[in-house]
Amino acid sequence: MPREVTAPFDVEPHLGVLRRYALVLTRDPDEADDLLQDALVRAIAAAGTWRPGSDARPWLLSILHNTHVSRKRRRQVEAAAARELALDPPATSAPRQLARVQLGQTMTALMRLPDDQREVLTLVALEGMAYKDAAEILGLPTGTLMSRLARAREALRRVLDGGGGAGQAERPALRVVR
Amino acid sequence: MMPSEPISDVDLQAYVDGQLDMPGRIEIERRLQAEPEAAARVMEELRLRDELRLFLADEAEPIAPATVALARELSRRLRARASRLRLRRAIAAAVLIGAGWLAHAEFGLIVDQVAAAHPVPALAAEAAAAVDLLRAGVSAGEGAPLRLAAPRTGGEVPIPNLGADAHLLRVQPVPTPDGPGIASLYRLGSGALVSLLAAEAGSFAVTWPQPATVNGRPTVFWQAGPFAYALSGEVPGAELLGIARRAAPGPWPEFDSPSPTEGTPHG
Repeated sequence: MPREVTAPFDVEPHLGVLRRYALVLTRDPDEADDLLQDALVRAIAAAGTWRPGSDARPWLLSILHNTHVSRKRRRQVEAAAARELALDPPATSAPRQLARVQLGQTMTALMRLPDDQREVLTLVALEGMAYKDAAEILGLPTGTLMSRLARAREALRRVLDGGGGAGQAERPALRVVR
Repeated sequence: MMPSEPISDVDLQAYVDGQLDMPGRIEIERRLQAEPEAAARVMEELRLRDELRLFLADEAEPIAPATVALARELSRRLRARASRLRLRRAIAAAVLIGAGWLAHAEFGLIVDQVAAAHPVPALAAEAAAAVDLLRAGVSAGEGAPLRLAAPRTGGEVPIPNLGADAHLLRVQPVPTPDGPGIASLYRLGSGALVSLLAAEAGSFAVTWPQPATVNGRPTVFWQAGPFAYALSGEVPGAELLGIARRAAPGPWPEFDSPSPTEGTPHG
């Protein structure tokens, strides 16, 4: 289906995709909402870097991605500091609440992949996403993106074939439950 | 071409990810006909991609109001940025035209001779567009006048008073090549919208309000010493000229204004 044509500066139509991408990145719905809000705040501060006339979606996705990376890094630093000070570790490994979001077999399998593989598979699945744009969003050379993508596909297929033990009992869903 | 050669993984991947142009897709599909195993794998990949795509097309749960509010603020900024770039060109044209009338020889400015000879087109279209652009950003409660410093002249760029009839709706700073400018949107008592563009010009000139009509929208320009102005709106040209004359610091020579010039944008 063709994407709805909207004014290039209209952000609201992209919120659904941004939130779902945030969910793929964080694997936690509350974290995903936090990340999305963080990213929007950053985008507001960085509005001057948007090129008028260009599609806002890749720009927004790359801000979301960068925000996620720096949040992760900050947490690692915090966790390391906490370890050093022998404090209780901050709640970085909060219990995953993905159960709140109903995922089909495929998405359940995807969520088991490492971060970098989930990212590429998700971005490239977006309608109209060129390799070049996806590579730019992730800050990778296109060649690296393509090889990572091939590895991610292989890993996903392995998980789906039962290597990960996920969804063996379930029959392949005819319709993905969202 | 070479149907015996198996299709490369790179090609299959590019096919699944929609990276190929139509001839490329057709070629892969033609070769897949002869390779049932590869075809089945491609169908599986396409299914996985579609399931992901369906997951990403999230409309299930409502977005948090705080998130929506942030998104709206961001949209507003991006829209402002888009109109700023349009208005930047408009002000640049206004300054150029103001300079062109009196100053280009004396001040050694590089003036577009076409613009100087036909002062209407470029700016008029942009100033007229500014009405719509600013109107798009109008929201309730805005309307505090902004002050604009005039670094070269010293002090501030005076914003002409359009009279008690003009209610200020929205003000927006506008960068110009010569420095900051300012665009204000007013609603007149009649309900019509007019936009006023003001900037510190790159040169000194005094020109009386000059009427023009472009794309059906009347526009008036003038320069008062180091400051350039453009007024455009949804009112008859004579009325707009009247507003500009009352607003512009006169006295203006009392003679019939030149007949409105028709022009079309040539930018």
